[in-house]
Amino acid sequence: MNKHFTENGLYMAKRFKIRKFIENLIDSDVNIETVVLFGSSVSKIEKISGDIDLLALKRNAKPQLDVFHELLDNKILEVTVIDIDKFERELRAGHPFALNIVRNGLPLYDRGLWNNFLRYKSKQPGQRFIASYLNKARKLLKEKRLPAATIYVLNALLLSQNKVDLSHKLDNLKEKTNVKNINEEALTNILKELRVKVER
Amino acid sequence: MKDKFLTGAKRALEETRKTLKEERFEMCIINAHMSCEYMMKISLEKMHSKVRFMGFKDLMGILKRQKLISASQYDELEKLRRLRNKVYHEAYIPSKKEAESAFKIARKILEKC
Repeated sequence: MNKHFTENGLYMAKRFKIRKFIENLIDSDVNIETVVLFGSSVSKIEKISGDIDLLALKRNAKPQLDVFHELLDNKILEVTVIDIDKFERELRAGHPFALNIVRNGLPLYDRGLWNNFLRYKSKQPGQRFIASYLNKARKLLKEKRLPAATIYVLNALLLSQNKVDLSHKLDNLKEKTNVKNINEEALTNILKELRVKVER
Repeated sequence: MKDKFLTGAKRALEETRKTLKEERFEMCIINAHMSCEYMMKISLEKMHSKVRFMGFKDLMGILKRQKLISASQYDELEKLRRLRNKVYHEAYIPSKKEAESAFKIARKILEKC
């Protein structure tokens, strides 16, 4: 079992006190090839707080995408289980979620699959995802749902800058995009600029 | 473990209610899904079934087979599962109606289990 923990992975698993959990998870399902830590936990090595996100890459997963939660001490451990082929299809399409895992995730446990995905690190987010965020933002603006529209515009802005660590939280997004105060007019302008960029 | 799940389910349901009121429909769907997951785990633990490492779909399947939920409740949970994945992975914007429906499903499951 230990030989498949990556060097950093073993350290992180111990630090987050999830080593036993991962070992049990692997024991429970022989089709799990890789377990990756992603989300804010990766960058919070020194300050262990909040929830922990893991991705388990599994052969022949049915359904192809599912999730479960585990309560550990006061933390919620969220485990997304995804079929390996589906994950690769998403990477090829430039899906932001999959790209974020490959670019910013930390493999904790790996039976040799992870290296195959590293070539997608330089893949740009698919234009259709940016367009989709913009369409949603426009719809929300029409409905006068300003906070929600801001979230979609700022996520589209991040994607257009080839950044894939998207968020549902406005404060995080403002920090990442450096956009401080945003009103309806500013939002409409960013939306227009991005639309021109995407259509080009 | 049961108490932990119950606390988790109640907390998630409270968040579902709160985010619905704040019109944060995406978070409402995600919390409703989480609340249902914990409640399904509690139900199965009562039957001494192992719930560890089980995904939402597996939990639904066992509950249906054991006749702890009806076919229509199974369909409702499947709808919630798909909706949650669309919100989380495809940046889908749920409508108010979808969020209200998710809250109702979560409340119903909490009452039933």
